[in-house]
Formats: sequence, C-alpha cells, structure tokens
Amino acid sequence: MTYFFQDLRASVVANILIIDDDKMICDSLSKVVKRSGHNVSSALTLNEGLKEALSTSFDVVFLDVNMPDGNGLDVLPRIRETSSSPEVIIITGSGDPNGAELAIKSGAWDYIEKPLSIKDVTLPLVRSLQYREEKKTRKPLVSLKKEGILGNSSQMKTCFDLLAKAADSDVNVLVTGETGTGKELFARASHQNSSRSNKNFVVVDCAALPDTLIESVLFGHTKGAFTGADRVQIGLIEQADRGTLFLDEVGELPLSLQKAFLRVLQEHHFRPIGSEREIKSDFRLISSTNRNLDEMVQGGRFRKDLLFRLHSFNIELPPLREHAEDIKELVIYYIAKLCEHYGIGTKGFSPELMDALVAYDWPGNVRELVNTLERAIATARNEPTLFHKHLPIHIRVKLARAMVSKEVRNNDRSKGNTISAEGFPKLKDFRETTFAKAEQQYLQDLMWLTKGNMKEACQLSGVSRSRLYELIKKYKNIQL
Amino acid sequence: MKVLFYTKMKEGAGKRLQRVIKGLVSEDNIEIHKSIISLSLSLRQPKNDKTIAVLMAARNKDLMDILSISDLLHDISTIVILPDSEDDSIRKGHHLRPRYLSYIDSDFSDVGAVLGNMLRSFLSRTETADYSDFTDQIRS
Repeated sequence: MTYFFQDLRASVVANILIIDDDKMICDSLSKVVKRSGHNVSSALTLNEGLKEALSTSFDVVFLDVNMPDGNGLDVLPRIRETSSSPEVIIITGSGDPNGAELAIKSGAWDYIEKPLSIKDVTLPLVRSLQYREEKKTRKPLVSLKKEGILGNSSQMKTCFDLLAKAADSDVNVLVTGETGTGKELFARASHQNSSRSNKNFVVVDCAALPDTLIESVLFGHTKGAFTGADRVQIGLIEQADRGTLFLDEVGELPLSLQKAFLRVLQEHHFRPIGSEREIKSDFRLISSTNRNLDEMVQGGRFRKDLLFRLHSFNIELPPLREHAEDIKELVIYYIAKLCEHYGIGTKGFSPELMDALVAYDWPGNVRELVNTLERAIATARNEPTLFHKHLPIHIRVKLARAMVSKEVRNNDRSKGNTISAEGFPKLKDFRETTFAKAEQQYLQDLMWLTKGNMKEACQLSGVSRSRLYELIKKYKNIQL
Repeated sequence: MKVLFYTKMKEGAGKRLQRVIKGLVSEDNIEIHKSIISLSLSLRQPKNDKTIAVLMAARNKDLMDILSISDLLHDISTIVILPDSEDDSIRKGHHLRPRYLSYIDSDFSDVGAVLGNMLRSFLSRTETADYSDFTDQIRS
C-alpha cells in the first residue's frame, strides 16, 4: 500500500477530473488522488463533466462509460479535444472486450473495470502523468523537419507526435501502412531529426534486391569470396555505421537471411562473406512494410523473433481515405510544388476538381494523389486552371460509376418484387431480413457519403459513435 | 514507364551499362543524357510515366554534378553508379537515397537484376497508371 502512495507523490501537482454517476466511487477516487497531492474535481453526469472539462484545464479524466445521460465513450473525443487534451482513463462496471477496443481506438489512455482497487487506479494515473511531463520536455512539433509530410487531421497529428518520439531516441522503428502513405518520408524524417542526421541514411530496398544479391549487398564480401567477387565490397550495414539503416519493404527480406540479420541486430557485429574478421556497426534501424507481418509470422514466412526486434516502436500511417480532410492541403501544396519544379506558372483549380479529388478513395494513397496531380498538370499544359476533365480517365470513370451505382441502388429500393407461393417467407423472417438489408444499405451509403469520417457520420445519422461502431461490426462487409 | 540513363562515358562502362538497360527496356522508353543540363531539363518536364533514373558517375566531378540536381530527383527511384568505394563517394551516393548503389568497375549484371525487379514491382503496384501499353515492352 505504502509503495503505491510513495509512487504517486509526483513533483508536479496535476488537475484530475472524475466523471462517474456513483457518488461513492467519486468520493473514494477523490480521496486517493488528493492524498497523492493532486487537485481533484468530480461530476455525476456527462453534461456536468463536459462543462468542467471545457472550463478547466485537466491533466487526467477518469470517465465512466454507463452514465445516466449517455455513453462516456461518446464524449471521450470531445474531452480529448479540449485545450489541455487530458489523458482519459475509462472506468466501467461491465467488462466488454469490444468496449475496451473501442475505448483505446478512441484515444483512451487505459481501460479499467469496477470493482476498482487502489492499484488498478494508481498505476495508470502515475504513468499518464509521467507521460504528460515527458511530453512537455520533448522537441515541439513545429521545429520538426518534415518536408513533404502534411496533415492537420487527428490521425496525422498522432503520427507527427510518434515521429518526434522516434527522432528523439535510437530505438528500432517499424513504419507500417498501405503503399503510397509516405513510409519512406517518415523514415527519412526520423533520421533527419535525430542525432544521426549528419551520418549516412542507407536505403535497403528489400523488394528490389534479388535473393542472390541481397546477402552480399547487406554484409559485403571479400575479394574471391564467390564467383564474380573480383574485389572487396563494403556492405550496406557497414556503410550505415553511426547512421541509419532503412529496410524498405522488410517483409520481402528472404527467410534465409532473417536469422543472420537478427544476429546483427542483437550484437551489432557481423562478418562479411568470405571474411574471418568480425566488423562492428553502430546503426539505427528503421524498417517499413505494407504487409501484415503478424500474418507472415503465422504463415512461417517471417521470423517472430526478428519481428519482435523490429517492432520496438511502431508508426502506423493511415490510408488517405481515412483522413480525407487533409486532401485539400495536400493538393494545394503539391500543385504549387509541382509547378515550381517544372518551372511553370502556378495553376488554379476548379471547385469540381477539388470535390472529385476529395470524393475519390485513393487506393494508392498520397503517392497516387501526387502522380494524379502531375498527370493533370501535364494534361493541362498551358491552361492556367485545372478542371475535372484534366483528371486521368480511370478516376473520372470510377467516380462516375460510384454516382450511378448509388442512383441505381436508390431506384432498386422503390421497385416491387415478383412473388410466388414457393419459398414465401414467414412475416417475422421477412421483417428481420428486410430490416437488416435496409440497415446495412443505409450504413454503406452513410460511409460512402461521409468518406468513412466517423464524426460526420454520427452527426448525419444522429447515431452515437459507440452505436455506429457496433453496427459496422455487425455488418462486416461495410466498406469504410 | 521511362528509364533515364545519365552517363558522360561514350565507351567502356557507359556502353556496358547501356547494353544492360537496353536488354530490359525497349529503346522507346529509354532517355540517354550525356550532360547534367540535359538531364535536369528532362526532369523538369511534367511526366505522364513512372520514371527510374540510372545515374553513372565516372569521376568525383560527375557525382558532384548529380548532387547539384538532387532536388529534382527526390521523387524518383534511382540507381547510382559510383566512381569508387571511398567513404566520401559512398557518403555522397547515399545523399541521393538510391535504391541501389553500384560501382564503375562492375559488370553491371547486379544493376540489371535490380532494375528488372524494380520494373516488375512498378507494374504490380495497385496505383493509377494504366500500364497496358508498357507490359509488352518489359523484356524478361
């Protein structure tokens, strides 16, 4: 007991808010927090709690889920968006793994279940306050070099925060995300903002290097080590000494080489092919992949112990369709940059073009967007304004088809069905099936219209975030 | 799809590498540049195609010339051929963030293997470009 109170006595006094409809919980938690030297306020309803959070700067908020005036998870994002952006620790009486998943995905620091013990409460409180203290001393984001990496959405802000942390340390970083999301840009930015920035940033393109070549390229070789080795070659691992080694598409690293590379990661010693002498290389490792490495481990195509080493710190980059609010900024930036690159006057763009760019789902992500803008500029030639017609045909076709499909679906709903006695359903079954289909269609349309933006979807549908997530999970093939 | 090949060497290593590239890509899709100005003018043209640049530096001066236009190369996949394996040359080479580094005294079979993989990889990506006019131009 004493250990936890000693641990709680922080050097900085924090402001803590407790939102729980159970007065006894509020009082007990308040006592624990006060004894640790922090200030505490409490609220018995979500409304009260939100008013408190908006009017006072809090560091940590304990938030109950089942409140008389709503679901705590629904106000979690609003609490996080207040000026002090407090860490939120969810408390709930009903243990629910889906709720836990939703809480963490919504930005909760932690998720704890009633009945609470002091230990259940104090450890997440101490850690969240420690995290906030350390965050204050970190390099501010505005001074980070992040050329070509843009975004004001909450997803990208999270990524920038992770970038700052990665740059501040020497820990191995794994950057994941779909193709074209900017994994190499983030890897470079991690290097450029680190203490190794004046040393080599060595790229190993694991997808481009043939299996027959990759070992000698990575480790180097002596003269005569194998047929064709007519001179000494210094490997990329040695070239990355005191710098950064970037393994692009690390999922393509041959299984046969993964064990040898793991040893290098563990010991930072290796032997070039044909050499009897071990060489030391102090490199910082950053890797990237668009593959699911956990699945590859299960399939026996990637070593679990190597993944464990690579995965010390993960930056997951979101697909562009999940932060469509950043498209406009990206378009403005890249049109200007491309026009400057080509030495031509800057081009404007029509509102319809921007609408089309925002509506498209960008399977190739930011790289596809930039390539598309390049092609549009090339197509426009000397025209000062980019219009919808300058977009590549396949994008215009896809958007047009999506619009037509929506209209056809709307028309189908109003058509009658031909009936027969054979297979005529029971009324109860018919109702359930029809309702489920209509609900599923509604959700699909909602996601298409809002481009997967949950905040907008909640506003448009009048459904709470938690309920919307439940429904999406229910109909597994809803495309976000 | 375009391969930009920069070399100031008319014979020797320049010719050797050119043969390797022509074995992989049809001539219509290769641009050969013998001066840095010519290369930089080409890089400043709006492109409808994906581009790979193979940059050969026979001497340190060639490497410095390539570095002087590194801003024009930042969105392009590059293969760089260095004049030697000195630390300074390697350091300058990595400044270009190449997909692959080779050396002037190589037989370039390594460059051919890497370039072939890169071309195939570009074709298999799920991005915009319609490559139907290019698939028959990749020679195995």
